[in-house]
Amino acid sequence: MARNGILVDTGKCDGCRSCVVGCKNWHDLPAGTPGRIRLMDITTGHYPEVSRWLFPIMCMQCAFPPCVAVCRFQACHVGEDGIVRVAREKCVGCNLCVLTCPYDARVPTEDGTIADGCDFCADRTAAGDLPYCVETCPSGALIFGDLDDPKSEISRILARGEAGPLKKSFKTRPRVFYAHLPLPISDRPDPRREW
Amino acid sequence: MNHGERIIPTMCHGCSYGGYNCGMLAHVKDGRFVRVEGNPHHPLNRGKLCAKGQSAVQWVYNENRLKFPMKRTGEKGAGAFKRISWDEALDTIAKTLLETREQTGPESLMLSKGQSSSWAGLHHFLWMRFMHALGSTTFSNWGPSVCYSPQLMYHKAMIGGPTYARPDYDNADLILEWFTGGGLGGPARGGVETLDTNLRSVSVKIMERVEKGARLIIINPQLIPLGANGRAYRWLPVRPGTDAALALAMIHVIIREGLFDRDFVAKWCEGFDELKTHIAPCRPAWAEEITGIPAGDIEDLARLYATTKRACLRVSEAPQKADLAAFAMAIPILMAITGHLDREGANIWAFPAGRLGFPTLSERVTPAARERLPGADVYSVRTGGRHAAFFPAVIESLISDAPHRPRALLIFGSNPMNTARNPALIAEALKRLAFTVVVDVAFTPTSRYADILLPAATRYECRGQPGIWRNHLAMSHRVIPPLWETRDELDVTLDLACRMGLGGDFWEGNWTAMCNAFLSPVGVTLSALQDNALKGITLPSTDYITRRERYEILFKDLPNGKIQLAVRAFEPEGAAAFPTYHGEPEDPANAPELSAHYPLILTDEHSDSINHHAWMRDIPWLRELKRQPVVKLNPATARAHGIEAGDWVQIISPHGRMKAVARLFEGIRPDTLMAQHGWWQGCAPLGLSEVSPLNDGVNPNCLYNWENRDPLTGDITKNTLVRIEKAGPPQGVRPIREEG
Repeated sequence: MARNGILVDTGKCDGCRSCVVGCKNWHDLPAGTPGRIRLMDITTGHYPEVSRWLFPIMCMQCAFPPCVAVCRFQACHVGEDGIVRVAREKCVGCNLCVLTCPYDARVPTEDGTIADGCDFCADRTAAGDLPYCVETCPSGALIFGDLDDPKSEISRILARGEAGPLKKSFKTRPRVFYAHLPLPISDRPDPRREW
Repeated sequence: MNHGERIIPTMCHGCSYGGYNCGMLAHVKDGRFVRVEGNPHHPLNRGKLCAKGQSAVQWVYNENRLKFPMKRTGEKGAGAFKRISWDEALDTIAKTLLETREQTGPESLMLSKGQSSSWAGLHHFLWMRFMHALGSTTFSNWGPSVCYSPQLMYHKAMIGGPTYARPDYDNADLILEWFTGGGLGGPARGGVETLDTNLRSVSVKIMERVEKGARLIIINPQLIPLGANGRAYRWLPVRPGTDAALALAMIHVIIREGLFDRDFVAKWCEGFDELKTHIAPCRPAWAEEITGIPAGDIEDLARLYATTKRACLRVSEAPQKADLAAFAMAIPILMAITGHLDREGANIWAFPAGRLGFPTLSERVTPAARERLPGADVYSVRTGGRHAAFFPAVIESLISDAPHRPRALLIFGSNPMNTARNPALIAEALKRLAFTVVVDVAFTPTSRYADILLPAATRYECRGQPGIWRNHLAMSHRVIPPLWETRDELDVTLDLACRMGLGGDFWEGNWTAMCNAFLSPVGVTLSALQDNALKGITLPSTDYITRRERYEILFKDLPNGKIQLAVRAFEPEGAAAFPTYHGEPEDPANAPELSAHYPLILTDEHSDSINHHAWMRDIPWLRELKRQPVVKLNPATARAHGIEAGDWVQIISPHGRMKAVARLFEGIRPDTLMAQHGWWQGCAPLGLSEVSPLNDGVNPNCLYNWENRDPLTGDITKNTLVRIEKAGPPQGVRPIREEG
């Protein structure tokens, strides 16, 4: 089975939030609660020597997912396809996963009773389609593919050493990678505070 | 994949609902419009959609929609209306328009449309024809005409062409984005903006080009998203309102250092030697003082632009100033003397393979009626053939009860209470109209002044409108029947024309016949286009579209067939033949006494990726990403004023006040505040209420001095001096209510 991942080419992301709104459109998610994907907008330096960084964050699909480790109800689990997801019927809304995710990628739904997160569009990938955000990104900044296939575009980019995960030091082994993002940005220790 | 849903190819309503937009696949389940995705066969967006397009479903099923025809029961502006039938509404309108024409002449009938229905699309042609059939040419934008047409007047006088020379991003090695939204704008502006009709594709093109090694220079008081992620080769934070000084200093450097295109100038330009003399004082050191950009950076910019063979530039919001002439003349000069015109990778003229349209019957307007047009003698109106009124003159004629003022106004999808400067004056002018009809998809602050409100259907509920882009013809298609009692504006117009006895001029109300007439110039029938709903129809390209350096044709209407580096025709109007920098009337240099009390400069940015002018703030998926209007300010400026991130602040100019939430941003000049226009809507699902467009609301248009405008074109400034202080949030206003 393919071990799919997403690569975010920040060189092609201008923060248009098509992915953010598109995810809610495709999955019919309510407004007023965090979605499954969100945009980072970080400005560093002081005027006029300023850098600005924009990129989306979604579930990193960690090989060692902290959310699964802390869930006492087996709601957060790794499916047979290797994708981390929430079994809604088992989730009691304790929000431990929400608190523990280093990427702030687990989100409570509107009434706080269920945790939610990106599953790389299981409905679409099961039918052989790309995740919706990948499909719809106007600039093609998101690349989806099999990390185990050395010929896939994502593998070739990773092999060239042009991309890495966010917060590598947490050693969760994400399947989402970011290209052209400088280390001080990708290694920020606490995204929740500053992002 | 379709989840068992019916999929209907159509076009997005987001940027405009009348023209050629992104292709969309609408999903329908059990009669309900449930989701959208991009149409992969559509050449403009190739299966992609922006955030605004993604939220189509919430745009259609929106509680703020205007649902039934209504007539006003309370005072103008109060917002009390009573539901009436379509028959009553249209009969009342037909009768009143005919009576008004009888009593005060055809020119007292006026029509205003906004960008929402697009320019030069089917709606535009139909409404022009409707007014002309009645003998009126009193067509006005009611204010928003501050970017495209005023600047175009200067461009055409200098470098010819039918429209702007637009950046050829696909082939450029240097791209100057000069006070643009960097492609986040959204509206389908074909003009100053872009080669494409869709702004999302602008940023994509630029990013692709930058990846291939092109240099991107952002000239903007703020670091826009396009310049983020290491893409900007340089960011030049220009002081708002001073762009012309920067452009003039660039011209100075290019001429002084002999970097101009000698062959092109010799062959195609007139007035170069005089320009050389005129530009001599505009040294980089002079411009540094004015613009805040170091002289060395100005020299580098000028050299880079002049010596990069394939260099293009785009200015979109920079022209919105009282001192428009200097800027709008300097930009064509820059392109001309460097030969960056109609060459690969430069600014080029783009033409579609065919133009759609039918005759607008303009011969029905008598010369006498044209002469009575408000502002008929203003330069841009007079030289433009008196086909549209001069907006400031329209307002002044109403305020002063001038004999030839408009009496009856039809507004289609325009909201001048928010989009025009000086909303208090607009409100007063709206009150003085004898009869006003507003046709819109939503309740707007402008609709409070209407006598009759008509509920428009969204594009997804309409039978369809054909449009063209380059050589691709496509049309939108009905996704669901109109909700409530909404109706397609095209049908409403045809119906109204028939009720007024004009059926003979309006295909006896037959929509199919109208569409076929609109398509006839390209020889395609409506049914052929409907049969190709998914892919549209691709017309053969022509040599004229792809060829470059078409100077004989592009310059043919210019004196001697040459570019005019000086426009002598402006001199009798009291304007300069050469670009001459004056600055904004209310800037720190021109108004030091004001500056002492109002130490900061305010300007506003246009649409961003989740907002579009004065609409779409009622869409929950978009609004949750920016709940309140923000003003961006530098953290140093915030500290000096005791303001913290997220505070509500009041911004005060000599002319008015607005409120906004402070967003601290290192990527903005410390002397500058940037607000955003178009805010007023509430969003009930998120618990947010509507806010007044008037003082103490959230409207930057209250802050500008509407008297500060370009004399030749009426372009009104969007620069003013302000001060900022902490304040409470704005008061909500009572929603428009229906009385029994």
